[in-house]
Amino acid sequence: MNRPLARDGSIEAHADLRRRRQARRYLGEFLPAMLGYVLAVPLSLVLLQHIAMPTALKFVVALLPMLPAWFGLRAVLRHLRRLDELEQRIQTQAIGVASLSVGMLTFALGFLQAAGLLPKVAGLLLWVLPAMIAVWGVAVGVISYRYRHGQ
Amino acid sequence: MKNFVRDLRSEQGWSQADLGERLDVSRQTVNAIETGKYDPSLPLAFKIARLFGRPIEAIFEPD
Repeated sequence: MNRPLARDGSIEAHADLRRRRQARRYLGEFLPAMLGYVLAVPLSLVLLQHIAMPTALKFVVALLPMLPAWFGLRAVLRHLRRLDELEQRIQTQAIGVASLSVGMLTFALGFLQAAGLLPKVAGLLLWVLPAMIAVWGVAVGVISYRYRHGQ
Repeated sequence: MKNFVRDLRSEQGWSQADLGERLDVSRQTVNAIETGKYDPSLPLAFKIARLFGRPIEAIFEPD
């Protein structure tokens, strides 16, 4: 196998290099997208609140944060494709756990809302994706732990 | 699945990270294979067999 070795010549150091290179590429794509998102949200709100515009344009401006969000998603998917088979399996299982658990939670909230038992909270739907990402992160930790120590 | 990856790796004097680098997988994956917590895909099993110069059946045994 003709792979360039790390500076200290060891394969082990090169394995760390591989990890760091993966992380650098991911963050190099993901962080600019997140910066764009953080800027797009207040910009969109300010434009909607202070500038008169036709309704069709309001839809476009309201969805402005989706453009950097799409680039963030693209960065995540490209990172997932670079992972090895077990890492991809762990991520897939974690995404499954996150979708089902947050899906069940929003299902329950829907019943409460229909029964008039939920206070009206503006932008409640915006919390669904962050909740899924949070559960996804925890699930990755738990599933990885099981592959290292469990069963 | 029972396997002899750890023994074969030790014979070569490789760490798990060394083996991972040679197979283009993470150290975590090598550890999971060696401890029987993860059965590799067929392409990876063939890669392992070719690396150690043994047939697959000599490395992996069904439980």
